[in-house]
Amino acid sequence: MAIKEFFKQLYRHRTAKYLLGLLALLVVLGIYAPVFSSSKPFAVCYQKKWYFPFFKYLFYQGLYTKKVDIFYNLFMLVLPICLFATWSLKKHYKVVCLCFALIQATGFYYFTHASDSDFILGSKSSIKALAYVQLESHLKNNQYDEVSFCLNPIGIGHHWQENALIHSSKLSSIRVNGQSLWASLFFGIRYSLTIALSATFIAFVIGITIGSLAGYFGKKIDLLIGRWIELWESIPALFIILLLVSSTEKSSMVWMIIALSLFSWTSIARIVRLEVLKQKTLPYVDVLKGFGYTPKDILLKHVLPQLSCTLISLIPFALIGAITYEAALSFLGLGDRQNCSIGLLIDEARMTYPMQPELFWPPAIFLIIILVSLAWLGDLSKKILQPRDFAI
Amino acid sequence: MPRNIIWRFSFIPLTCFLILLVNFVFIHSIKNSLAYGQSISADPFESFANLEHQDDFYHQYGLHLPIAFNTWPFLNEQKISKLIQEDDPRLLEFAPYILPVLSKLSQKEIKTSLCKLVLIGQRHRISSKHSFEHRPLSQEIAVQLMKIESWLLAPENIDREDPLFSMNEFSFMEKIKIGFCETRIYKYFSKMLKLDFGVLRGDSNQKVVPAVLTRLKSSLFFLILPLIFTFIFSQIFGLVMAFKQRRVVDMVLSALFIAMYAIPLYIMIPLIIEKIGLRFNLPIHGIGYKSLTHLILPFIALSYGALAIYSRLHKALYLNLLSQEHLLCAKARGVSRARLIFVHTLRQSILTSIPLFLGSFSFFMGSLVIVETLFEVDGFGSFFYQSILQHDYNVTLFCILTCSILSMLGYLLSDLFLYRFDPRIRHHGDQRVF
Repeated sequence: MAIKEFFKQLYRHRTAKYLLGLLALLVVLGIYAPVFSSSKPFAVCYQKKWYFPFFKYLFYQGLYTKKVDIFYNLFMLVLPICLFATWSLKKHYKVVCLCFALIQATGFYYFTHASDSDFILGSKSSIKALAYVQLESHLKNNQYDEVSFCLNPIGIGHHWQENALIHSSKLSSIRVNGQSLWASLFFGIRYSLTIALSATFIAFVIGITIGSLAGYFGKKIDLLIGRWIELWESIPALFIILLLVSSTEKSSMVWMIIALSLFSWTSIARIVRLEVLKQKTLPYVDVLKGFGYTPKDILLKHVLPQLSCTLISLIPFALIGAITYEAALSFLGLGDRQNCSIGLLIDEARMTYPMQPELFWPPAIFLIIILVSLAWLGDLSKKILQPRDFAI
Repeated sequence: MPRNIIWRFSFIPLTCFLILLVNFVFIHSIKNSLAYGQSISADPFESFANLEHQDDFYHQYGLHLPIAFNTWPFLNEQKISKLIQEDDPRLLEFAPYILPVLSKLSQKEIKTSLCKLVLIGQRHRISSKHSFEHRPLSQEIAVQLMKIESWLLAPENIDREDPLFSMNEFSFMEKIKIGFCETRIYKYFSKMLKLDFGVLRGDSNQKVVPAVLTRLKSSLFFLILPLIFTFIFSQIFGLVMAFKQRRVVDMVLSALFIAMYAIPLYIMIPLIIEKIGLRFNLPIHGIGYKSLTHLILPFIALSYGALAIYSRLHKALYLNLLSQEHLLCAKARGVSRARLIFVHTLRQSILTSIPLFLGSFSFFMGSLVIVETLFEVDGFGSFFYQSILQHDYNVTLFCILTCSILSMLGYLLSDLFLYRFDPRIRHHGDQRVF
């Protein structure tokens, strides 16, 4: 089935459309998390001078602003410009996307290696810095006398910066470390999104290469790789992942991605191998061989595109696996304690569960929504690909 | 015996070897990190215990030795004297392998080499402090140390005919033997082959193997009940869903099972505790297999996720089975519906579903970790989790090994089962009808 046809059929299901919309909404919530969870105003006119406190906090590493957050903060600004540029220059969309990827990469490198994370986040002149301190204290005490203009972000009651203004709003329940729960939930989406996407990506790359090699070349290579996959699957994955993640406390996010992807490529490799074996018997492969195509060309340009639908229908389940594993690891207390992963929030809430259900339900419902909609999407795409099983 | 089963047999040692290899790489790559455990607490008593543990750990796995081949006995005099002049710190560790050469060195260098010897002796004394059988050896070392110390005070009294100086040079075979045996790989794998997994970290009197096995015995009870339960009920649900396909029952059940599949255990367990445990006054903490009420909550938690997965699988299986042509033929011949289901279909489905369940040990083990830590059961899963938190690598390694051996035994059993009961596999490639 061609990939366009697949998506057409997927869109024809009303539920699939809604589920995709819901997931997209959650992703946007995650990417634009600071907008929904900041107490700093976007723009302030104070003593007839303009200040932009919100943007000051976006690009400086702090207690709660990690490298991941800086990446997403940059992405938040790059994404709309990139979308607009690709929309206006449809012909050269590849070049435009490459340019913006370069901008993102250089910006990320610059901001993570920037040396001046000063007292007041890079205010060069001392007069300006003093004025800034005054402004902050005024805003903290709700003194808006000298403020002539103030543009606040949407979720004013929530906050993610360390020296945030705490508004007592009904919606914001406070976590153990003093952060707002909703703010850390939005940032938690970022965190699990990064881990899930990169882990599945690495797993797919490994699985597709190994599976297609085994399927295409057959015979001894197939036997060797098949045995290797069986061996690898009989290792208890959760146990080894726990071991790997626990022993590397420093950069646990990278290690978590590596550990998760190391143990999830086997199922993908299995399926790709089977499909490539099926495709190999078809006459077009023989024709291509007769034309003198190299195996690399045949695999990359002709066989693998045929498998794209099968692979796409596997993505939701791979994402579910990665997200649940990540949440389970941080729930068991092995993730980074300062990153607000959803599993960590659930773990914190579990301690006080029957007393404070308002801490438990938001992260639980968020996780349930993400996982159930992913599972449903996977089910629907399976139904589209194998209509025979479902229509007896 | 078919090839498949022989391969499965060879699986167990191969996988164990793989895990040991991973663990080997792992232990040697974290050599200098905090993972030995100083980071756990700042309590002085505990950090002292940690230092001691680190020393034990260091010697148990021979982390000071070279990895694959020990070249120290092959060094000649010039190189060693050069190393002594450079004051190489490695000399401390490797002095036993160059003792014959050291004892031949000239008068001036003897002093420094003797200093080293004193240090080595102290080190040996430290490392053999715990074990009872090493006591005579350490006494001997102590006597020699006394002698060396007296010589250091008065170098003119050195007795050149002392056995320390008249050590024979290693023969070539001895050198080769040292070269291969005094390495990390040899020490590590010889320990593992003798099933010597060391002692617990907190308690040096308790050995790892019995400690893990007793906990496994109590956990197996938790494992087997949900296994049987899900086996029976997933058959029933799968059959119902396949029969009533696209009716209300099927819709409701499949929506329910998708939700159950997607909602992870650690969200459900607080709910189970509150809604069932607190309402019906069931024990929540410190659960063991003392009485039946203790078993209910972990049983629900363990069978919850598996039921969803296996019911969905069985639905697909039954859909496949029910569309077979010989069933249609039987129906046309007038076979009753009950016989159609219970004789013709169920027997076929059991042939595939029993191997499925035998191969699902590692899945249940994974959820066992979460369930046991949340209900504070002193079982296999929570023991493993605690060992991970405390960086008790001996326990961790043995737990992983037992888990993988269990799951592979499950695979092996499933293959044997299929070979015994499935005629399609036994007579594979057999053309004769009678």
